[in-house]
Amino acid sequence: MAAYSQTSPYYNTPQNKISMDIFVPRAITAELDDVTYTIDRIYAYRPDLLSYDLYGTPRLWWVFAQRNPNRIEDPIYDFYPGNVIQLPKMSNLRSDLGI
Amino acid sequence: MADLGSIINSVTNVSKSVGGVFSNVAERLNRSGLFPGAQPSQSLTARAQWSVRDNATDFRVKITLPPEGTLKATYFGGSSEILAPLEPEKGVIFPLTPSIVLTHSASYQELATTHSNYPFYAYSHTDVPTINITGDFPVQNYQDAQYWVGMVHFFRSVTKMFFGADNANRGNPPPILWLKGYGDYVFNNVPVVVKNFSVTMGQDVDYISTSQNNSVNAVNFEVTNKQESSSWAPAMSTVNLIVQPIYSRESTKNFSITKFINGEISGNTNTRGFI
Repeated sequence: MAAYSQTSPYYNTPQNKISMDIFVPRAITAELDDVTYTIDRIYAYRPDLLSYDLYGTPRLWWVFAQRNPNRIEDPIYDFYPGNVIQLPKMSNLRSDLGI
Repeated sequence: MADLGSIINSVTNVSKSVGGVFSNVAERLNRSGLFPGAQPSQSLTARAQWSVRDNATDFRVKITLPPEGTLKATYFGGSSEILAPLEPEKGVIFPLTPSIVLTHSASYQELATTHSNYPFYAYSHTDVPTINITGDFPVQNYQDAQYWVGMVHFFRSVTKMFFGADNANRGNPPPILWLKGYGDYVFNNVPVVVKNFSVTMGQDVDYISTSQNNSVNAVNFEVTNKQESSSWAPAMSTVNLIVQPIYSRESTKNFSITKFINGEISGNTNTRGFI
């Protein structure tokens, strides 16, 4: 199988020649001064757009769900307006994900 | 081969599309109150703070009651809340630097003798005419509006004589106030009386409602004990004062030109300041 890139949520998940193993989540550092953000209509159901605006790439769309497991279960449909989430800082993503 | 016009057009289109992308991103982030990289805003963590001021470094222009005497109890000792915002300084501080016109004059009488080319001038007297103070008074919140209402009421009060059977000072003229500002040797405890007070309340500004009975938390500026609004203050007004320096016969006995030249009686020892 092809290797996943460092911006992928599956980068740490083992795989064999035909399938993936059990999903290994990628930890993202949580800090006290992470920005608290109430999702508004601009980014409703568009974590890719928020990722692009904040980090310059849409490939980190999944980090919001990874950083807020208590608020986001479905990365897309739980990204609804009014949901209050914490935004991981780019500097932490760089060190955590090695990008 | 592409001509120059088509190249310029294509470059223009590329720059427009690139600029549009960046402006869209910035606009979306701005509307959401976010910063690139999800960095916390510096302004959220910064806290404004007044610089430390004490009597020695505070050069703001103030007009206050004199520290001694019973006038403080008359103006600020009652149960009225109108003058309460002015109580800490026992008077008014101009929030912005006012414009002050100060004049000193010496009068000479002309003695024009007959058949002379040059008249003689005989010294008559020296005078410190009225001081004209004009300052802007901005009001931005509840607390400012309370202060503005108190300021107007204070100057109304100090232009009136003591009248009424219930006042122990009845029969006395309006009080002598102290003018302070810009430190030693400028306006340092100059005794003045208010000859004229005017405030311009414009028609083209907002008016902010307030109630003198409300109190404001000094830390988070939340209004506590909020009551029905009872007064409105203009968001910006111009206050004009004409004050007259006034020295009693008793205090002028202590005047000495030598001390005056040396700055010893300019009010820097908590006494009346001669100007």
